[in-house]
Parts: sequence; structure tokens; C-alpha cells
Amino acid sequence: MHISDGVLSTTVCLGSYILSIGICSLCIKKSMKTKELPKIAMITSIFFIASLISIPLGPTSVHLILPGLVGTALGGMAFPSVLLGIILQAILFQHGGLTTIGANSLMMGLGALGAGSIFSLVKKSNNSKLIINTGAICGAMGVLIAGITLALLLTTAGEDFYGVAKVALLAHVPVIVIETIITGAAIAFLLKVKPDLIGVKIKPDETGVKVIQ
Amino acid sequence: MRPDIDRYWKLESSIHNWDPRFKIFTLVIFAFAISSLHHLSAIVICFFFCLLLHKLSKIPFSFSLKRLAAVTTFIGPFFLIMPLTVITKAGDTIYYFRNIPYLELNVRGIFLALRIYIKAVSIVLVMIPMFGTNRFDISIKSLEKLKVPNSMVQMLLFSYRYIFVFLAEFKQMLLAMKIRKFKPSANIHTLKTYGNFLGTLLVRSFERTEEVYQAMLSRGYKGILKIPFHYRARFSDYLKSVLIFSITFFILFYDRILL
Repeated sequence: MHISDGVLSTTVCLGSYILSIGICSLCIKKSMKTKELPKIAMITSIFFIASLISIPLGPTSVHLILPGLVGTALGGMAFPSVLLGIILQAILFQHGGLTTIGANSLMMGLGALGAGSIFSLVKKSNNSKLIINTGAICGAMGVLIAGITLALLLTTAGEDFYGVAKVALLAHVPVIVIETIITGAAIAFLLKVKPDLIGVKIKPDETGVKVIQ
Repeated sequence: MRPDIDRYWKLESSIHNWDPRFKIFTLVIFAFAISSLHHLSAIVICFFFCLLLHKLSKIPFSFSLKRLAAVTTFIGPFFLIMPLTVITKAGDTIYYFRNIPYLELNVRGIFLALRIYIKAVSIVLVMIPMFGTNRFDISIKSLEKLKVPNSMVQMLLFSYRYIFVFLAEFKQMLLAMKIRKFKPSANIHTLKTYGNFLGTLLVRSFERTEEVYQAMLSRGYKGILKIPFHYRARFSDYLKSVLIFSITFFILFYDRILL
């Protein structure tokens, strides 16, 4: 879910721009490594492409947003990645809007950062089940935080938007369920195939996969 | 919809000739001005001006129509939700239905949704000439000239490149799934399959980007990307920016003071 142009007041638009640029530069200062630049760009494009996957749900369909997966894969650099993804979505597809890039990256980016900080707690664990379950929770948390931030941003637009905020929050419920399962499955897959992509150091024999020699 | 916003960068027009630094800076401010308008009449005037701007850029309207359709599906629900949920204020026209209790349609809600819709469409009409009239890498390079950090600019360019590569990969994998009779529906199987799909896409993309990065390192990449393009601001660039700024000023003046 993105906020489109014209919904938020100019003050909120500018404020969220400043806030997200601030968070972004903090993240870059704290955890940016030149070596990781291609990886961040890659996750950004996956984040972009994921929005093209839509899952039929009754009469409509929902598309993936994946803040949780971005957070688990990138940790502290998730916010800049999400910001870039939002910029690209706005410029290339006109998803969201130009004046709301700040607001949109704030909601997804905070979700991604939240998911990343939860996932960093279990990165050193050797228990693959725990990691997969935490990954699934991260998927849910990412969307939950994004949904709450979206609702809060919408309420700043005035009393008239309280109803829209409620509907938007409700619309996130099925997305939370979907992303929980998808993120969990993706983390389980990565754990088996390429654990260092999500920063997990786990021995191959503990993932339950037999190495063919 | 394909992600190549710069498909028509080779055309010749007064918007194409405009220096991308000036263009992006001026039009972003113009977009903010549009989003801050209050009155419907000012918004409609702005909409026609954006239409003119789009016309001047010579980008075919059929290209933009798909993007406008995306915005429409996005804001469409507002037309349904807003009339039902806005707060009733003095002077509002409200329709009640005799057969259905609790259902009230507030006309002010429709106007609120209409305002948002026209604003969003106008800004899309500005954005397409803004980024569609230069090669995308040059537009992004001008962001660097506008003080966006080099690392962000590089990541934007890498991501832009990867989007096309991964999109091709994505389509191929979807086709492979279709051949194996995969049909998405709302069940656990679909979601798990998509999870694995994403995992595969991530692993493949990761390996590919690693290889590209190694190749870049071996060609002397040190963390700074240089795009060979020289900017030269001409008198006409300043003139165009001043023109748009004065229009922005007049519309804001009309919206805030005259109305």
C-alpha cells in the first residue's frame, strides 16, 4: 500500500521527507560498506519486482511489499534500500507519488528496520527452526509497522481521513498473513541454499540438508 | 507496464532540451505546489497546465495512459470510502437511503476524493516529462549535481539496471512455473511456492551481482561512479525554470489569496 500524491498536507510531506532523509543518512553512516553496495542494490530491485507479484484474494488481489524480507537481508541498510525502491517505484511506475516518497519510505522503511532488528537477535543461533519462525514473525512485523505508520500518516490529513485510515489498516490484515508465510518460506529456502545472504552462519548439517559428496 | 520511463528520450522538444538539473529541480517544486493546493478550481487549472506540459514534451499519450490507469485503480477506492466515512460538518449534503439504515453518502467526500485524484493525475503528468525526456542515467546523474550523495546515486543506477535483468529472470521463472501447472490462488501452497520463488530469485540475483561486482573491481572500480556527460546551462534553461516558477507562484497566489 502506498500513499499517493495529494492526500497528505504539504507540511507532513516535507516533514516525512526530512525525517526519512535523516534516518537514511544515519543508517548509511552507521552500517554502510562499499563492498555491500551491489547487494543493497540487488535487494532494492527485488523489493521493486516483488510488488509485481499479486496474489488473488476473493474478488481483488494484493501485491507483495516485503519490508520484512528486506529487513532480514540487509539489517541497518534496509532503510536506504527501501527509500531507493520507493523512489524507483514512484519514478518508473508512478506507484505512490512524488511528494509522498518521504512518507512511503518512512512507513516501509520503519517496517524493514523493525524486522531487521528482530532478526538480528537470532542471527547467531544454530537452531534453524527458530530462525525460520523468527523470519516469519519479521515478515508480519514489517507489514504491521508499515500499516500502523500508514494509518498514523493518514490521520494527519485531518478528521475526514480517519475512516480511510481504518480501512487501510484493515486492508493490511490479509497482507500480514500472506507476508508471514511467504517470508517464512523464503527464509527457510535461503537457510538451506545460501545462509550467508541473510547473514546467518549455520553449519550445513544442522539445516537438515545432506551435502552430496 | 514496462519500467522504461525513458523510452522516448530521443525525441526533440522544448522539454527534451531543458537541462535535466533545472528540469528536475523546477518540476519537483511545482509538484509540491500542486499537492498543496486547496481549491478545486485552482487544481483543475493546474491539471490543464500539466496536460499542456505533457503535450509539449511530445511523449505519446498512449504511453502515459497506462500509468494514469494505474493511478486510477489506486485512488478509485477513495471515491467509495470517502463519501461513506467523512465526518459530517455543517453545510454538507448527505444522502440517506430509506431501505438501508446507517448508510449515509456525504457529497463532500466525493469532492475530497476528486481533489486527490486530480492532484495525483496532474503530478503523474508532470513526472512523465520530468523523467521521460532524458536518458535515465543522465537524470540520475543530475540528482548527484543536486547534492544527492554519490553512494545513493550509484545504488539507484545499479538497482535500475538490475530491475531489467531480474525482471527477465522473473518472467522466465514464472513461465517455468506455469509450464508445471502452477496457478496462484489464496492457499498455503501458493504462498510457500512464492516464498521459494523469491528465495531462488534472490540467490540467482545475488550470485549474478557478485560476479558483476568482481568484474567491476577488476576494472578499477573504487566506489565512485563516473558518467561521462557534461552539463551546460544555457539562457533558455534559466528562462524555462523562471517561467514555471512564476506559474507556480501565480497558482499559489490564486489558490491562497484570491479564492
